[in-house]
Amino acid sequence: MRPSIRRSNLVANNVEKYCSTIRQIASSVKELGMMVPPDDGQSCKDFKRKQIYHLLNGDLLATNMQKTSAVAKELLQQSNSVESHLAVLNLRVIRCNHPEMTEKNQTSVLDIHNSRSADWCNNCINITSAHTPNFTSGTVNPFVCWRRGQRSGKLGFLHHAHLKLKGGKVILGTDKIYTKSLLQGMIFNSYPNLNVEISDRIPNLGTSMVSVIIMHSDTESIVDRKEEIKSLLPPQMLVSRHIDQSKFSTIKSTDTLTKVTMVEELQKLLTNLHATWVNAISNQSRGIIGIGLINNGSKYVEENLLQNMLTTFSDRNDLWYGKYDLDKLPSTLLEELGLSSNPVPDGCSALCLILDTIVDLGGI
Amino acid sequence: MVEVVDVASPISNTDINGTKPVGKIRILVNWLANSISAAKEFFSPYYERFRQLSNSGTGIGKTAVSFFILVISSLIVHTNVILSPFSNLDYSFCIFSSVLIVFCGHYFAARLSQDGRWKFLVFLLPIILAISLLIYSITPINPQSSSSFLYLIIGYLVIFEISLLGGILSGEIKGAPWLGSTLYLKHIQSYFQKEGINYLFWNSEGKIHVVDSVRVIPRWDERKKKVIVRLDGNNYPFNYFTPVYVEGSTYGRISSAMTRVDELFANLPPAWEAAISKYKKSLTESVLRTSWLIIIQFIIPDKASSLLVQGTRYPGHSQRIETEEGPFDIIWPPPSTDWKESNYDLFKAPIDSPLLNSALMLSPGTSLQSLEAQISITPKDANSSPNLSIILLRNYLPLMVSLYENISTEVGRRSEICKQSIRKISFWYSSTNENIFQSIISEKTPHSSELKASDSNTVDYWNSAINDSLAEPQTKFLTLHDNLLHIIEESKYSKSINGAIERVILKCTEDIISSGKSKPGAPNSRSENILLGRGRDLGIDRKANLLVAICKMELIYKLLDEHQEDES
Repeated sequence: MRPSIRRSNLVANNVEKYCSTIRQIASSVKELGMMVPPDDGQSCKDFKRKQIYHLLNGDLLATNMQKTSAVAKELLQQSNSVESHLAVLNLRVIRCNHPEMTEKNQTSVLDIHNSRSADWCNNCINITSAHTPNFTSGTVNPFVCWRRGQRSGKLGFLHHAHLKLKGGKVILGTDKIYTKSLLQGMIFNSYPNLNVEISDRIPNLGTSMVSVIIMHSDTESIVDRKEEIKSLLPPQMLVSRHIDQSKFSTIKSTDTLTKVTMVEELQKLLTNLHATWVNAISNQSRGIIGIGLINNGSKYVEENLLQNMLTTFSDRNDLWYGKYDLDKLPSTLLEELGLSSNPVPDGCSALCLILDTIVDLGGI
Repeated sequence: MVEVVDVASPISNTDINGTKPVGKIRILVNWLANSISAAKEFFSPYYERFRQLSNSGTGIGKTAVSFFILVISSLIVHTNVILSPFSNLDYSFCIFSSVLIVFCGHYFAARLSQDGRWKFLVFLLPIILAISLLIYSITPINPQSSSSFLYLIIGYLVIFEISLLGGILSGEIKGAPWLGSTLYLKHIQSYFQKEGINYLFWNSEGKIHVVDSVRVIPRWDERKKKVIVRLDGNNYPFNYFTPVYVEGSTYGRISSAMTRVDELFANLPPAWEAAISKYKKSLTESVLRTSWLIIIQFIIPDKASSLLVQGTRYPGHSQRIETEEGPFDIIWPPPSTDWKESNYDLFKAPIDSPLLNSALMLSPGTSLQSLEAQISITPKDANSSPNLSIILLRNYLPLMVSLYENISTEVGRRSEICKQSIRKISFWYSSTNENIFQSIISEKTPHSSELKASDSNTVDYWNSAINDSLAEPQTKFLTLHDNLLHIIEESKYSKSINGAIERVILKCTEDIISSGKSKPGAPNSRSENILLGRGRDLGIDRKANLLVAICKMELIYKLLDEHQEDES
């Protein structure tokens, strides 16, 4: 039992480090969100400019301190223009495409920021097929509104990590983080140790927030039993003269124990990441909003063990889940996710965790 | 008389038929009137030209030359010819006239020698007369001939001209600056050694020496039209030397001795004032130059917050300066005029010239990069080009001078905002370890080796920027905010620079926002008035933070802008 406890701790540390990286990115996204508009439309730029103007003027725009009023309601009915005060900013202006959104709708942007009122933004995910990622058609972020659309590409990111079995241990680590230059600078500013890069080769970079975990599940599951026992004895003040070299030759583990452990640890990872991303960049963040499993000939992925876990997790959290073969996906999508034959070699798979891109428009 | 009456009387000049006979006198009067009118018309342009004041450029040198040529040619004629033009002159008349003309020449010396209208009389006529006399000495003509009257006229003219030029020279000598050298050395500088006054010599390369007054001998340079000092084989303008008291050797104290020197000048007879005025002016200029140099070369690069002492402008405390003889503490008065006026009157530098070059009175086109590199931020990476540090310094100096000039002794919002800005910006500039500038200037990017005048913003530019920032700070802030973000998005700077720029923007924004927040537990200061529309009254702290943010972003933008141009 002892080796499995030790292995579990190692993975827990890895998961914690992974979530910490995601948390650091979220913090930088939140800071940058104060400075730049989330949408590339002129009206959103005007909105952000007015908002900063009022902030400089001393008119605090904290969303949780703002209140609607009768006057604001009246102004909301009359105006379709871009206003910096959320109570008089109509949902039409921010291009809300919620199914209940009609021409006569008089809901303000302040209303949708307030979790006590109609929870439009919370319900918007997966409500129709238009609000769901669709890998077959090449859609990662299906939203168009200012809050989730991220059409400016300034706040989104692509996080690449790997999950490997090595020496009977499950190893999880971050490879690279791809962003646009603004977010790269902001992350470097606070967390200089994170490996953030800008890439011209990734189309639509920054329009979504995705963590891609490349799983090398079939590549190596070799356990050196001699080393394992040798490492266990000294902490217990034990010495053995009978460790026979021939008996402890390196053997290849083909048992399912490691793979079961891997699924368990993956589940922990999903649970932790989901909890990390809820409230990360907005109080209304739904955490992970979709999981896409892309297989490149991995037998491990084809087994029920992993798929059952993913299905259960997505059902429990009301997430979108889809499984695809790498060679059947459009190249644009693969490029957008930074996936090609190089990072996902034969026999491996990629788990795409699509994070909620919702941001608060209320400034500070 | 009777005839005039007859002619003038209309009755007496009317014949039986009633017609007016035209009298001879009337014809004469008409003819005279016409002649005068024609003459007036003819001479009018010449008269107008004569009336126009112009500088002849003759000066004392040319006057002296024409005087001596005339005297020598007169002597040649008088000694070579038996009957010279002076032989038949009425000597009593000559003496009387000469005394009168000498007096006039002496009294109106300045006007006669400088005014272009008298150039013919003072310079050309003596030359013509001298040539005439020399011709006469070669080919003497019998004075009994018909032209003897002409020679008599020439004789009188020569005497009058010599008298006039002599008078002018005596008048010029009275106020000549070269005479002032002797007066200054004998009646001013002679007291220096006795009273322990030395000269502080600040050369155009920024090096400072304490020089014994005995070694300094100012003299008037007629060609350059200024007082100069020859020291160690080189000529320097006298306004590079300022009188000082020096207490102790190194780590001693230097203070201005100008008050005492002014007293010595005040004790001189008023008649010497003109002669010695150039020397006094040079010393006054040297005090002003030293004031600016202490600020620009030492206080601002080292610790600009020292410009403020107890909320007012410096001095009030001493400032450490490095001389060639060692470090000294100096107490010096602030500049008596603002930068623009000082530059116009004293430094006379092009408006876009770097501030340090102007204050040191360096000749245009001369480089001062070693001194600039020495007082600017040192890049952490020794291989980095110092040019970006120098560009930064050239922008930082006029910014601080501009803020400094906006501080007044009176209590006012503008003054208070500028004081806060000096404190915050200087602290930010000097904390180089965490500074964005360190990231930018240490970047190993190829950069032009030639620094341009346009590398620096002028004091006028910063004055204008400060005015704009105080009038509509939010707009100015947003413009710079967008420009900097655009640079990050478009350029190929490293992530460290991008991050540093964003940190500055974010920090500035947070500072501005938090400057209006009330402290926990304090009553809500948001009054009814503010809600009714007086929210634009931003308050001193917020405005100061806005100005600080704008200045910081402008400095960064200028640096990156130049950088980008060079890269392209």
